[in-house]
Amino acid sequence: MTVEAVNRRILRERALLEQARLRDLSSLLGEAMVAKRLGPGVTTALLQLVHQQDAAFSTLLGDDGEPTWTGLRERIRTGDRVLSECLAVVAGAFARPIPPIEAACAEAEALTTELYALTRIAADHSVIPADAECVSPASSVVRRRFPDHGIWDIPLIAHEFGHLVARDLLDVDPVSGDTSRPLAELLAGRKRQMAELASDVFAVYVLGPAYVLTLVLHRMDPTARAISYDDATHPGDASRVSAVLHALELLGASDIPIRRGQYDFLITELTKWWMEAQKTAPSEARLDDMAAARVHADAQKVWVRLASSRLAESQYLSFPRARTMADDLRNGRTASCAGASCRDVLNAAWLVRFRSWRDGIDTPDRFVAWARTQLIEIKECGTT
Amino acid sequence: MNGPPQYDDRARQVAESARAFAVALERSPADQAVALEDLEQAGRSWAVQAQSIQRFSSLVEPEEAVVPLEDRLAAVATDLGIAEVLLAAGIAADEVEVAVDGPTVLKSAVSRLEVDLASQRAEIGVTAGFARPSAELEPTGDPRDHFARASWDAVDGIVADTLTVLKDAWAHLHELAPDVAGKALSEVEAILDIAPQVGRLVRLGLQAAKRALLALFELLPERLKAAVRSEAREWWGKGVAQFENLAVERLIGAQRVRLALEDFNLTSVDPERLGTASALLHELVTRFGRLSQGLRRVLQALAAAVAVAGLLAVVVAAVGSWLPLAAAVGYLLTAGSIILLARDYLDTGGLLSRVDGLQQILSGLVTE
Repeated sequence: MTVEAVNRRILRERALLEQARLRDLSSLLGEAMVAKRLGPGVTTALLQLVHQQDAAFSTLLGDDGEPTWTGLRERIRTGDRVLSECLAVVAGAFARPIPPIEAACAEAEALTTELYALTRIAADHSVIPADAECVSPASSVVRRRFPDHGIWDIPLIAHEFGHLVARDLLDVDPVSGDTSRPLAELLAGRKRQMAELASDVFAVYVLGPAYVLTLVLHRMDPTARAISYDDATHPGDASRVSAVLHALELLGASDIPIRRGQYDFLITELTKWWMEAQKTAPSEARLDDMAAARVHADAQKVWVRLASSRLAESQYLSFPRARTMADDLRNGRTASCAGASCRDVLNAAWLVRFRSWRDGIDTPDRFVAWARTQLIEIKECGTT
Repeated sequence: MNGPPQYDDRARQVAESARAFAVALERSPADQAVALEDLEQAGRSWAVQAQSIQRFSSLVEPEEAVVPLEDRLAAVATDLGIAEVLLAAGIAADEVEVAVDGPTVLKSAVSRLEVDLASQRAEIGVTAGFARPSAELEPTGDPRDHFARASWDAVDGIVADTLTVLKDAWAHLHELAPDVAGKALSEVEAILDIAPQVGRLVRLGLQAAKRALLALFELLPERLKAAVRSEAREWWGKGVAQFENLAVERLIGAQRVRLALEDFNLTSVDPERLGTASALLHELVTRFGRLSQGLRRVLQALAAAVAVAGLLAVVVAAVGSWLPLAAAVGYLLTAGSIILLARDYLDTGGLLSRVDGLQQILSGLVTE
């Protein structure tokens, strides 16, 4: 055999072995216990993905031409991503029944269930654990970081859900049947950072202050770069803070006149705290006026798309209820959760905590226990 | 407009950016600068898309053309709406000092564009089958009576729609100086050219208006341009008298069709064929209605853009001399186009052959 022929054979056999890995994965997903754990929706989505990759290998190995090393490398790279995603979902699904993980995921699922009811997006809205909050477009499964900061981090799930909304939000004109994808069209051709910003805006849109408080107080770094490099996946921290505060302003402005200023106290305090935290930060951590205006303009574009879509009625507008619940809790009364949503509970809990910080007192643990119980009860009652 | 989603989205982005700019005018200078930048970008992005769809416009293309004439007319109207918005934004941004409340002018223009974009979406449904059931229902009674009624209704409908467009065009033309129409007809190509030294938004706005007028002009193939001018000149010369039904009937040859209908012997025609022919007639008149609606929308959008450009005309000499002639060209081309289309739909003109018109449907009944 010539050297070229041997080389071709090596290449072909490696490609076949890579394809066999995908077929093994397909068999794994087809196992009854795996399929049962993942549920039919997720299993089908993952199997479709694997079959697509399998078919791509078949094309590579087909009669039309000899596979090339470059072609093989590209296929392996994509195939590995699919394998990685599938195994992460399988691992997460099997880890889920472990009691502390189950409790954490069930709480997060209370929110995804509610968001599904609001948006009718992500029908299979189960949550699995992972080392960071994320959602993969391949499986559409939202992951909660485990362990994390408890109920204070649950609002981040709304951001992950936002990625699915950005992709799947479909508006259908009731008269013409004309369809549009308001967010996907807006994000087309833009940097990935804009998609992250859109998810931030969506989270404020549906959840209100709780998301802003979690993001600003728990996740953002006042000393990090304000504007990310072009190849970064997320906008800079100060940019995100500015975007969510602006979105909260928009949420307030879209409420009935008497409530329009209801978030001003939060915006003022958070801005003050953030600026204080940035006092010793390097200059590149601060957002100048022009950069802030750009972030606001981008946030506004996303907001307009949401507000003029079929999600026009999905804004979080029940903050007064959360406020009443927070007042009751602080005064030692039993907060009534009749008719309340998970979003109300999260906002009430955050409001208690925010006020405690502002007033220099500790947040009693009982608030946390109360909020966790309420989330599960609401989920089980199906109240939104 | 039933254009590709990206096309719709770019028009929508202009409306959204213009709305954001109007809001930013009440905010910080940084907000205004960013909103202005966004609007310019949206305007440029739209221009690229609009050019690509309008380049292939022609009245002589068959009905089943890839981009239907209705959509092209809608694109022209949208371009004019965007021209109005960009010109108003230029005024609001003080690119040209005009003694008007710029933000108010801008907000009105944006509202009009938003309504127009929304209504274009809603109307497609009517074209896509919403209005068809009446034609598709099995007619009751004698099919000959039904066909006779349908054919007379078709002529009436085409005459009425033509008259409406001509009245609209006349109303707008009448606001211009008396000699403008004649001058516009003899200098069409020259007056489509304008490039004054103005701010970026105003320039983008004027480009959009020019592009829309050019697209309207390009609807007419070379061989028809002289004919349309001649029709328009004759129509204009007749003055107000033309708005009697009778005058329009003569203009588009409807009287001849009525005589043909009276002479047509329905008794020898197979009743089954009559059912099909009735449906074709209904389709014909519905389609004509949509085209006349498209031309009316162009007229409305042009009038609105002309009103805003008129504010600039006072201070920008180049706009002052260009605007009345350009507007007149737009109104006259619209009038000329509806006349040609009406003749095609009635088969009385011979210049166009986009559709099998009413008389061809009649002769089909005899020869089949």
